[in-house]
Amino acid sequence: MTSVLIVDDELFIVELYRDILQLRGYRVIATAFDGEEAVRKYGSTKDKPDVVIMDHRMPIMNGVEATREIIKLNPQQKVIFVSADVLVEKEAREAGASEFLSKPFRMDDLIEKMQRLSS
Amino acid sequence: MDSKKKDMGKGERLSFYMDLVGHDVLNNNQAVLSYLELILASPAADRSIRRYAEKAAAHARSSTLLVEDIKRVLAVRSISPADLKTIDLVAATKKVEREAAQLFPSKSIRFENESLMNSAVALGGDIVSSILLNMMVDAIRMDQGDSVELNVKITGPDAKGFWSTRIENRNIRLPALLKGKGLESIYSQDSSRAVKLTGMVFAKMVTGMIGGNFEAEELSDGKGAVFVVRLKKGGDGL
Repeated sequence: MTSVLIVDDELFIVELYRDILQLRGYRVIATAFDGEEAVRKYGSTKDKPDVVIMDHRMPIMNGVEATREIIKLNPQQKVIFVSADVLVEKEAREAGASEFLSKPFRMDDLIEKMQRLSS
Repeated sequence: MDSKKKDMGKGERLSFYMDLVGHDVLNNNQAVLSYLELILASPAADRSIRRYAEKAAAHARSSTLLVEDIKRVLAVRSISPADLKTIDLVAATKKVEREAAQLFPSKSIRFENESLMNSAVALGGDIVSSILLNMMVDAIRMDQGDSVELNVKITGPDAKGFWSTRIENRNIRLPALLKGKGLESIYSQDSSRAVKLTGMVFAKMVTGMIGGNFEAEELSDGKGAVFVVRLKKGGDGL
């Protein structure tokens, strides 16, 4: 079962991802509410998630910085970057994000990217 | 502090705040749309529940369009003409027609595309798609009928190097605020009368920001209105 780390500062968005992903058979192994917490949790966990879903605007450390740090720890890590700021896509990809989704996205678009990255 | 610096400070503060608000609204719309998708995907949802969910999703998408428009205006304000990308108007109008129709699930919408050319490259990139979508959305909103027909036609480029995109609805009357001098002075008009014009005001404002212009006309027989956006030709090293 594909495992996921969800990173977003909004609790209701974290819950939304969890609802969608669990319904579609994915395993949410951890959540983080800012980039720094995400990097810390990622570094300390033994079983790395197959996919990280990363928001951009977050307190303390934003999504681009957090993606860069996570990719430094594991260059193979798959990251789906999700943001309402379409202008940040280039930066996100340069930081190591494999996929970019602009908000609001359709559920099927998220699942399709999850499937592509986990296959 | 001189008045220019003071004004810039105010503008920047407003942009920053609007950016934050826009982000939060989009996050909320994301949640609404996704939960509606879950309802629509549920086998337990009967036909009427699905119909309500589809309508609610269309409203959430309309709300998203409005927020994206605010973000677009803020972004276009600081863009220089040299940074404008190009877009094919023919492909853009077809894409935007589909998007506009999705915002009105209760209406039957037909687009009659009368453009003869295969492509028409204009300056403005995605900004142009937003302009066309807003014009189509208001041309549909102004129509009280269940069935709406819009005629879309691209012509040009003219001698000055501008493409014209006309969106015509023969079933509506041109709002007074868009007639003649009303359009020229629209920003100083009474906004309580500016109903169902959000998209047209966006089109006029943003088109001007990218070097084009927006016009609205009543058809000669008094029945029907046509909205025209003129955009600079792109792709020739302009």
